Amino acid sequence: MLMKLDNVSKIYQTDGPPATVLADISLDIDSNEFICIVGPSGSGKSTTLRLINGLMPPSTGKVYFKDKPMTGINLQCAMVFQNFALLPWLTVAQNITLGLEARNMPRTDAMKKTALYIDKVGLDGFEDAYPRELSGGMKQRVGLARALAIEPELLLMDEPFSALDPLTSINLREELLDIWADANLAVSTVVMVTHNIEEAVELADRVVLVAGRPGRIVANINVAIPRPRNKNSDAFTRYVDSIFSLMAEC
Amino acid sequence: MAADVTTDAQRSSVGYWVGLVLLLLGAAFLAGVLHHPSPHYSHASGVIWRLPVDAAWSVLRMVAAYILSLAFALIVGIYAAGRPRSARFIIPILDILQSIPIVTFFPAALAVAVDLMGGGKLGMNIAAILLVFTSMAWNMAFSVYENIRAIPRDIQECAEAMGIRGTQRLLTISIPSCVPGLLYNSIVSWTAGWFALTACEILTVGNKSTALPGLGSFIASANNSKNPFVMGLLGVGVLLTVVVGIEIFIWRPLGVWAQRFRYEMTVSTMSRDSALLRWYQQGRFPRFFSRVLVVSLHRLANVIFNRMRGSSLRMILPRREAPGHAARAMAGAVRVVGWAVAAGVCIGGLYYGISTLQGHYSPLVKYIPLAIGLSFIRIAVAYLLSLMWTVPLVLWAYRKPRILRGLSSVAQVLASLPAISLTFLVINIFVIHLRLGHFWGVEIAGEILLMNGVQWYVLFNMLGGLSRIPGDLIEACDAMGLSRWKKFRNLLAPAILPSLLTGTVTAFGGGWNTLVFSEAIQYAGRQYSVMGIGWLLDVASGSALPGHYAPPLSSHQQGALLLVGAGALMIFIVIFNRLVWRRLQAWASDRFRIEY
Repeated sequence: MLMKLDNVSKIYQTDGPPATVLADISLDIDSNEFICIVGPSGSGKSTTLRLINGLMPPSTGKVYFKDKPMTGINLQCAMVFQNFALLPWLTVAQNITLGLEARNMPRTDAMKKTALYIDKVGLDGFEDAYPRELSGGMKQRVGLARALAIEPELLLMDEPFSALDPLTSINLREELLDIWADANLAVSTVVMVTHNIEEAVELADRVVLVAGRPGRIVANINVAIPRPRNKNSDAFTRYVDSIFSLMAEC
Repeated sequence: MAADVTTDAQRSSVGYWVGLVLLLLGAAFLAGVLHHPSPHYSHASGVIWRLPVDAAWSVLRMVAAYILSLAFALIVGIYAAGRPRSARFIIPILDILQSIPIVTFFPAALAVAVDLMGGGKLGMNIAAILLVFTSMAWNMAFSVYENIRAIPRDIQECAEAMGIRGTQRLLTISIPSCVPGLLYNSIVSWTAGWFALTACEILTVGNKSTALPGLGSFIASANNSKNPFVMGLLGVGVLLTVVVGIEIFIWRPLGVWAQRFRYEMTVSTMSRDSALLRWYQQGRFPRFFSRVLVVSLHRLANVIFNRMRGSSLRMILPRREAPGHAARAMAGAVRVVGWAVAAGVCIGGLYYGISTLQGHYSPLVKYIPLAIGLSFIRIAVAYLLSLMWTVPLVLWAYRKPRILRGLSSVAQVLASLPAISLTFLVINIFVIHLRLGHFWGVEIAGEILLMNGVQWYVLFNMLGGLSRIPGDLIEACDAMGLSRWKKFRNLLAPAILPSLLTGTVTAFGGGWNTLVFSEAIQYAGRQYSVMGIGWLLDVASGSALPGHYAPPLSSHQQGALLLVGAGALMIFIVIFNRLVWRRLQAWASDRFRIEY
């Protein structure tokens, strides 16, 4: 088991009454698994992701990475953000190299790795462009390359496709699956937050449904459809419908 | 203080120079029309037991000046935002006005205006209110102009599509969009107003000073009283109490309330809450009070708007349909009158300027370039010293929201302290106790006073820049595991650079404003002065002596020196702003813009 969330809650301390966002979440993440966390807005999906990364500590409960309790930020994880979170004053290449330099990788190696992942996400020729010169889809490719370049054991994605147009997001989803399936690339475990149920069924081995206020895990659904998945197949539609009805019940 | 200047305002450099010339001539005109010697009045109490009453007077003056500034800001800001052609001249003039130290040379002209009104208390109060207004209004007008222009396009289109126009558009879209920016700038304006208060409540001209009862004049006269240390401490204490009270009871709750006017697409997890605000909104007494006030204001507004059928509002709103014959004739007449007034001011200004200067050349005039140079060096040193303590502090505190909020409150309170209110402290320490001698002692004491006029703007703007860094950028850098130094170099430094540069411009503006206090210090009947433009202007307004540089000046010579000195300073500041700061700002805001 790669990761374990054990009875985790998250309470935000505001000036007013404290707000409980997540209550008693327990979740196991196995290696080589592709997990999608789905749920309505405000159910604490993104908070779950930030607890996994260690960007924020849980209020109660424990988070384990490879059976060791986590303290602080987990550098074995990489995160892809909904609004890309690229530094606007750095070029595409500089944005990607930044994370590698943070891990004290020698400069020449970092450059090589950057070039490799720029190629993987299909951004050749845009190494020296600034983020504002790129389209939304290309920006997210940079975000993806930046996360992949540090070759994380766990790739975290926070609604990575929801700021993109449908056609771009279809293409990027396919590329993500290719990258995930590529044995040469290190990334094997993915946890993705989305509110698009079809997207979840298309990508995930397991769909985790989070709902309610405060958010709780309502269901764990293993998606047993062989890849590549056909969106028009009966099995696909059945999964989507059952998750929809589960969500409507909460 | 200064909001970022928009790109098309930068391009309108012709408007800039025209604006500068107009202002110079206007100043000469005012000085000429109003200049004649005045007798001595003093309404200041300087008595301890009257201190609460003095404080109340000062607050009243500040409120009056603030209401005036608010009205000015809304009218000018909305007018300019809807008319790009007029904005080409209005914006540069506002920009010049906010970067030159008006308080330093305007009091003389206004003191005479008071005299014209018979020197009565009412005239004096009007003059003081107008002076406070000159230190409050410009940045607020800027903020309105920019906020209106920054209304998101989809919201503008939505309003057009729904047919929201005229008064309704003004009340539901234009004014609400200004609220957060206006609130921030109101706080800055109040700070600037308190800072200027000592100069506004004591109007000095030709060896004669006229004082009004108030906190500012109390603090200023404390320096020359029998027990300057105790009186100074007392005045500062009361001022601090008033400023902190206003911060707690007005700005904090208003800040929470103003959050609802932000155009923000991301939900912030740190929503603020204010118990006071809840009481203001739900308490029995506040609700009764506001109902009476709001209902009567509403009735009044209805009566006025129905009378005028929105014609006055139409003047400040963008035009939509082609105007009719009458409207076109009216607009033409207004334009003719406007040009006539402008021409009159120009000719009058030239005439008075020349006649003031003719034959009244003072030997001090030749020191003006040296004085401006020395003063500039002093401000630059104060600026660098400010950076040296603010940057490490801000870097240490940037992830601690409570500390950041506390810091900005403290900065805001301390920035309100007029430079003159600290003189008793610095003179006691550096000149009297440490015996650093006249030269170094006064130089260091003045430098510390100067820092108080400079450092808070640096801190304010850095804090503002820090708070505008998007949360996901910080998270991305954390998730990558960047070290502190890497995070500073790659995220924090570039992200705050544009606001730091804005802070630099305002800090230098604050510095120029402080010079008249820091270069010629009056304390316990003695004068401590150093060569500089602040001292020269003090000599020109009669509040300092020329010392060994020149024999005492006649009142005509003073007028000429004031005109030349203030004009030279104005031109220097404007040229420096155009050539150095604006270019740096344009570069930084283009290179380090955060945009999604």
